[in-house]
Amino acid sequence: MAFITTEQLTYIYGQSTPYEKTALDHVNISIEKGEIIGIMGHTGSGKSTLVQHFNGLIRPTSGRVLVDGVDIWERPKEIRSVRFRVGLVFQYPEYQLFDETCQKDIGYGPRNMGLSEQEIEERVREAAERLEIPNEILQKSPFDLSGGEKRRVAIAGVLAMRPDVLVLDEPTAGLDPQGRKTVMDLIERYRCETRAAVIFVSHSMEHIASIADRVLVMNQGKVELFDTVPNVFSQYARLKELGLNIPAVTEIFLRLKEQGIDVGKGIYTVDDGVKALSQLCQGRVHHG
Amino acid sequence: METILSLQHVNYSYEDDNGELIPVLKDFSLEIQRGSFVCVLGHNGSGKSTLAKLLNGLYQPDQDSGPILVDGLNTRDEKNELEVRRRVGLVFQNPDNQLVTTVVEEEIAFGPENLGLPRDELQKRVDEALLAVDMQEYRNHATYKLSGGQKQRIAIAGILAMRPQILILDEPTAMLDPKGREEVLSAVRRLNREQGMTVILITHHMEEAAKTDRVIVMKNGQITADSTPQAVFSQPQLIRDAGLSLPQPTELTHRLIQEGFPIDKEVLTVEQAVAAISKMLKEK
Ligand SMILES: Nc1ncnc2c1ncn2[C@@H]1O[C@H](COP(=O)(O)OP(=O)(O)OP(=O)(O)O)[C@@H](O)[C@H]1O
Ligand SMILES: Nc1ncnc2c1ncn2[C@@H]1O[C@H](COP(=O)(O)OP(=O)(O)O)[C@@H](O)[C@H]1O
Ligand SMILES: [Mg+2]
Ligand SMILES: [Mg+2]
Repeated sequence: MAFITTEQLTYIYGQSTPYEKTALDHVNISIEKGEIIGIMGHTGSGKSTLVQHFNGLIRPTSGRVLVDGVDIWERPKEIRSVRFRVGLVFQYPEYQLFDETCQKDIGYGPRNMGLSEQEIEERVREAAERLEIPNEILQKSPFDLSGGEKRRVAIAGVLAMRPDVLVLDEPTAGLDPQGRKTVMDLIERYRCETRAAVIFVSHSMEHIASIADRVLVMNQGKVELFDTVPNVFSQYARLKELGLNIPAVTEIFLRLKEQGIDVGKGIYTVDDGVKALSQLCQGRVHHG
Repeated sequence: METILSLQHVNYSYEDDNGELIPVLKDFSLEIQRGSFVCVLGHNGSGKSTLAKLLNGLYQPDQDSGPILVDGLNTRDEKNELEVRRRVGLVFQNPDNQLVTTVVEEEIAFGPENLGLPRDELQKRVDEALLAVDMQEYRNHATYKLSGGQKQRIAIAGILAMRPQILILDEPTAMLDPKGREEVLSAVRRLNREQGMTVILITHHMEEAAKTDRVIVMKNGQITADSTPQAVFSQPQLIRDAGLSLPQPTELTHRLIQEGFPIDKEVLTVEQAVAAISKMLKEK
């Protein structure tokens, strides 16, 4: 059974004001446990608005959001418990760091869940380890960190709640390549170890292609595509029209094909490309 | 070529909560030529933003530091403060935090207006700046309605209207979608090529670095590589040690070389990879 479902989900900012803006327009999707979903779309397409519905941070203008089969707004007073189950790392979460030290900041969620001090400490340590945050940084004030260091602390804060669904809104923007890899590995490991669903928003076609099971493409508040990596990235022309792109390797092999060199389809990662070329060359040796 | 920025044995430290000094830049020396397009790469916390803020006088180097000269002006000299700020325009990651007014035209005029420039001079600068970032049609648009890439170009135009000699962009595309990113980068490239603007681009995107003249790699407050993009990215070990990665086309060709394919190794872009692979297959 689907773990997160939206039914005719619609959201309008500033309804009945001159600034009225339909950010989500009848969105119907469902996501299973254990899936990794990549969300992409131009800026302003509604990605952030959508993911903020998953944990009840925003209440739909119309339509429903179901978590584990239950409409999360059926009992509005219990919305807090949804926030512990669906952990959301905001876009630019570093603006929300506030505590005296990073250690305390990461422990904020678990403390709100009413866990014991010992359990909190354990979870902070584990989350910091997963994000490769060194001890010196844990003792620093979050305001005295570089951009990328703040980002790691913010992600650790959500991870420390050990949510059933991990939702990350552009988690790798501003991270160095090592940090991006850490976050991508973390997403795969978290799914693997907990069988949780992980949903992440990204502008990196390479990242989405390398780890997502399915890709949700948003366009002007509507679902444009929601399908597997091959079915989405094979629509190059459509993605370009939407202001998006395909992974650089995919583009390389597509252009080769236009020149009459057909190395094969379905190349989304460097590994895919190396494999396809090896096969092609072996084939040539046999026939030649 | 003429040197426009020079740092000689510069030290910079942050003071921590206990008043202890934590060194960030150590014995840092660098010269940048007028009209060049330089990219600065480095792991999170390597000191890139600190460098940017030192260059426009927002930060002052330590007591024991060597000088920082901007177009010959020592940033330490109090009487140079305004001139240094005017010469070095700084653009940050988040366009929303940089835009201060609600209409595009006002936004661009905001800086020069504060310099007390006459009306017609103001008009002229706004026109020029809009043209430079290719946003002429948006002059009377509301800033909040623009896309991320458009907002960032307006932020750049606002800086250009101050007529800086050096433009420093600190991760200007981190918040943008692929289209917005390309818009901003082509605007910046054009400024460099057509107006000879000196540009320093700080980024975590290796493919952006591949299209500049010179790549400086920082690691723990020091420079570990400083060369052309071809030369820097042909050293995978150095790149890995610095916590960086290769542009995907370069990674592909390096992997192919490892697998024994006879392929050109100086590949940085999609176009170059396509050419190298097709050449290799034809020769086989
Ligand atoms: N206000 C501050 N007080 C104390 N330490 C600071 C402060 N700002 C930055 N630092 C430290 O100085 C070092 C360099 O920071 P800087 O912001 O220059 O890095 P950066 O290369 O721009 O990183 P990023 O890629 O994450 O933006 C980091 O170790 C950071 O923790
Ligand atoms: N707080 C807000 N008030 C008014 N409009 C908003 C607000 N947040 C987002 N919007 C608008 O809603 C649309 C979708 O925004 P968002 O969900 O942030 O898109 P994305 O994350 O895909 O960039 C955009 O047109 C945006 O301008
Ligand atoms: Mg967003
Ligand atoms: Mg920085």
